Amino acid sequence: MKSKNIFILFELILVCFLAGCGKVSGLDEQLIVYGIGVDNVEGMYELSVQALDIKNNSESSTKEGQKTLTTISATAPDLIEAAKQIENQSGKKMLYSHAIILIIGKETAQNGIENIVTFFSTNHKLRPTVEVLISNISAKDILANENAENIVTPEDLLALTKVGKENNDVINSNLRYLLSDINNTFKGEKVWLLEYNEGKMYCEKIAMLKNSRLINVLDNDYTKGALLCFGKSKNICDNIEINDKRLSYEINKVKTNINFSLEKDKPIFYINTSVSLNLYNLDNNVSNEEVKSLIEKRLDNLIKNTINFCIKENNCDIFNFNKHVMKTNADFFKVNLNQIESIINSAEYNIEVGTKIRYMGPNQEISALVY
Amino acid sequence: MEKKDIITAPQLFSLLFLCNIVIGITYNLPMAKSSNLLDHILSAIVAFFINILFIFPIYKIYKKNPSLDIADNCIKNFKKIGILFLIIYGIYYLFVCCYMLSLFNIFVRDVINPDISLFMLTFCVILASSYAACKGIEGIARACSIILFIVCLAIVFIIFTLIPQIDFMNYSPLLFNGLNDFKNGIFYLTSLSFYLPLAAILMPFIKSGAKKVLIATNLITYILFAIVIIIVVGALGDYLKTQSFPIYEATSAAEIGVFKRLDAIYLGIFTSGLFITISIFLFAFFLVMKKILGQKRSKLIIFLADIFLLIISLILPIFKEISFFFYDTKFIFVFTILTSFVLPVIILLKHKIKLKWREE
Repeated sequence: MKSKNIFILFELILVCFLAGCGKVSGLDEQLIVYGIGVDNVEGMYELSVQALDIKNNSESSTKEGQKTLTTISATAPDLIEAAKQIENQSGKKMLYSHAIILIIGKETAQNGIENIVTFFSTNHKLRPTVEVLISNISAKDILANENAENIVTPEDLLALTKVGKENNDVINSNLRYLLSDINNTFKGEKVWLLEYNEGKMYCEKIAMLKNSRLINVLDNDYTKGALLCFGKSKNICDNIEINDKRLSYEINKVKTNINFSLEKDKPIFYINTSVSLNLYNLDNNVSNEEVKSLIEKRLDNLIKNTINFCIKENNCDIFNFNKHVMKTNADFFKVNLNQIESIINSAEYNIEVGTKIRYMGPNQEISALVY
Repeated sequence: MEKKDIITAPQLFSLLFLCNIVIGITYNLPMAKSSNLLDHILSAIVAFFINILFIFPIYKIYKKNPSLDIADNCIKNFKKIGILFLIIYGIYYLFVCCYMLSLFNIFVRDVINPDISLFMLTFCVILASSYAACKGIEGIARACSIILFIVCLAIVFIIFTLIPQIDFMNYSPLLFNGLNDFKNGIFYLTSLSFYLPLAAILMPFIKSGAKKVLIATNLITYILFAIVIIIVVGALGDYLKTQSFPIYEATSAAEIGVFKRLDAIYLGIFTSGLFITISIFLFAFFLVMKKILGQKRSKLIIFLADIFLLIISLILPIFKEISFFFYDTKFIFVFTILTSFVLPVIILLKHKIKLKWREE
């Protein structure tokens, strides 16, 4: 009985004094980071964070669903030091667990992003689902919103990358996927390019990286081609010219199958894409078959040109063709491990596009007949 | 007359299965000396059959006299040498506690929260586990059933949220890098079969169904392991190569709708599982010590074991030189084989020789 009382007393002491939250800092003592930006300024890292401004977050503003955000920057030879400087400036400990985007300036990305990505991925509180973007201006300017017409929050930026999304992530460019791509020596990396132009922000082009360095940016047509090749549709709108008239269509579903085969020692990739699209402004007199074949030809060209641009011109396999070779013919892959890049470069790409057209506008009533 | 604790066969299954789940969470590639997790599916199949082989002598001993555990059998068959066997078993149970708690500390420090007070975390887990071990198996088994239910809910949630994220391009052909990953996987998985020596001492607490419990634990553990690996590799791809604890990493990617950022909840659930695992191994250690030193002195040994456990599990994450010995797969493999297969086989042989002598 005596020992039981001693045990209970001991537990009470433990609960009251020892197991307290001595080391835990409250929310008001932490800098709640939503967006992170990294630039390279004269060989130094400029770390910018867009964080919640707790002082200015009055009850009225939070009711409207608007958060007051503040941007803090610091420059240092390495990121850990820059982060410490921000903590010293704000007097608060950085809390990365709420961060949703990581923006890297274009010039910084050209020098390589591996160190940056690895630094943030090793931070235990930063989640691997953080979206990584490359900006055409400095990341600090994007986060500071100094030139933008309206205040752009990290949520808005994230929404820009996700619009028209399929399966959560259109090109799989969050920290997790990026690290996965960096670890695959044969694969190129890809992230969205965040463009700032005349006070507006766009996210319509794909930035292409090789060995974690930015090597080129896919223009609008190449981006469309790449999305078709990935089997994703992120608000792809396009048009063709027929009888001096422009026909617009919107792609709403894409499915792409890639197969690899070795025919007489010649590597060939078969890319079959089936596309569902909505077609607008179609004149009743135009033959449906003619329209269909024209669209298919156009989509075929988009994919072909993109593959040419990425694989032939830039030697960058963002489509993971190497994995198709590995999965289809593992022995061939092992034997030619050192020449995989040149094999993919010299391979033949047979593209086949099939479309399923839904006629919109005035012809909507007869669409069921011509579908 | 002392009241004998009784648990049901499903409760014993819960205990053994929960131990395996907790071990699985801290499954890591550096210890497996492997880089391709997918090959471990084949390793799991082989490990399953190895475990079936290991179950055989343990079950045979139990079947001869279901009221005697492995410790009783050591004493009964070998008298004084049996004490040496008991010491080996005692050290093994304590070693498992040290291994799991120290690995959990490394896991918490490296992946969850480096700022956490490891002393307080370890101290509280040991205190609660030690108390539970002293209270007996019935309490641990009841708590285990509840915790296993919650753990299973968490696993089901993680699996179903990761399935839509699977990308078939993440799967490489099996044995693509040769047989090394496969072989290392077998070694690692077999060395983690801590549940077998545990079952050897816990089986007399159930009335019947020991065979089914052992087979079911083995089968379900490896099926679950294979499913989790297929899903985790499919969803996370080469990202796994950058992570020390790949299976846990899946929890940070598992999210659906508003159910996201739940890893703090998972940590709570896993810590509960760890508490049960440490409790049951301490309890096994307690049983062995009771056989060697008697009821009174064994309580003192438990207290000393707690202090030892606290010191070791705090020191191991800091000093790599000592931890090499503890996290060496070969060492763990040999120790596990010794306690789950070699010693039971020796006991069985001795038993048979004894019977022959009697017949002659």
